[in-house]
Amino acid sequence: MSDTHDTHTHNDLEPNFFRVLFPTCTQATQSISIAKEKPLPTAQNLGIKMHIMMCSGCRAFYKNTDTISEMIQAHKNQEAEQLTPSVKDNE
Amino acid sequence: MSQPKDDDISPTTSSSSNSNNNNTTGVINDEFIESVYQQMLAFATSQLADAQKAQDAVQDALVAALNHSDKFNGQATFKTWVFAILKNKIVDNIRKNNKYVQISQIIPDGEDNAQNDENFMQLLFDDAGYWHKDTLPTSFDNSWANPEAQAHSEGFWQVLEVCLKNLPADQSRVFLMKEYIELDTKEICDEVGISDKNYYVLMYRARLRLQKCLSIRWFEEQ
Repeated sequence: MSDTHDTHTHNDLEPNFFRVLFPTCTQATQSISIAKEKPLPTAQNLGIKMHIMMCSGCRAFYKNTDTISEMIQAHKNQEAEQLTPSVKDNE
Repeated sequence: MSQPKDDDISPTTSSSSNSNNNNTTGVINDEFIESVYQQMLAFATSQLADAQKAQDAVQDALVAALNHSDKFNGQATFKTWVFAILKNKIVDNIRKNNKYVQISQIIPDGEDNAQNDENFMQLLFDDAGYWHKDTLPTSFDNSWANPEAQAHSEGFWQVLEVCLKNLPADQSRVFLMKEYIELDTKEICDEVGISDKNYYVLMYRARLRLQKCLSIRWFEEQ
């Protein structure tokens, strides 16, 4: 089973349509992560939505992924606040 | 906010530095510079994967910041500022040099990492691809209020740094390029010398590991 976790989802030449709409947790979390990098096909998005309605673990992963981004963003905004205009001299 | 502040610094920043402990207002001495230097070097090396370039970027950033060190009222402000300069130097460097850096250069033990990743996945998911009952993630929202408040606390950033260091180097590198430096997918893949598919896998594993680490080290201790 060594390869099943990472290789058999989105990029398969013959995607399993059932698994697109009803992904496992591994597949759902993978799709959630990839959705942060590029737009996904509608069916795959629908699959994620239905899955996270039913699965608290994947729902948490979905929320936490956004939360971490937001917190890094907030940290950067805080940096920006602290930058005095003289920073521009140094670039 | 009662103490005199530079006009450039917004009220939000002032109030957060007032509530911090003396660690944030400590003097900028040699010992402090040395520790910041080491942290900067670690960060720059992870991003540029070239010791010489990393050292140059860190030195440039430090000199630029030290020239204005009188403008900072504490160590935390200085550290934030010098890292912001360093980040820009790294972005310049990455965008200027299209030189390929193969991932294998940074990770000589690529095999071990693949095995580690595999073990980690098995720790989280069962053979059918569903969460194990005892590793079911919980939402960070349950244990804390809002991202702004949390990110402002010095502690969170330190925990995040620890968790990033726990990631395999290639994972933390692409994660920071994406989330902190905000390069796009193509820039990251070109710089690191990987396919976009590899990149998605690295980001996925980085997110799984980071969430696990953060939930253990930060959110559950509050």
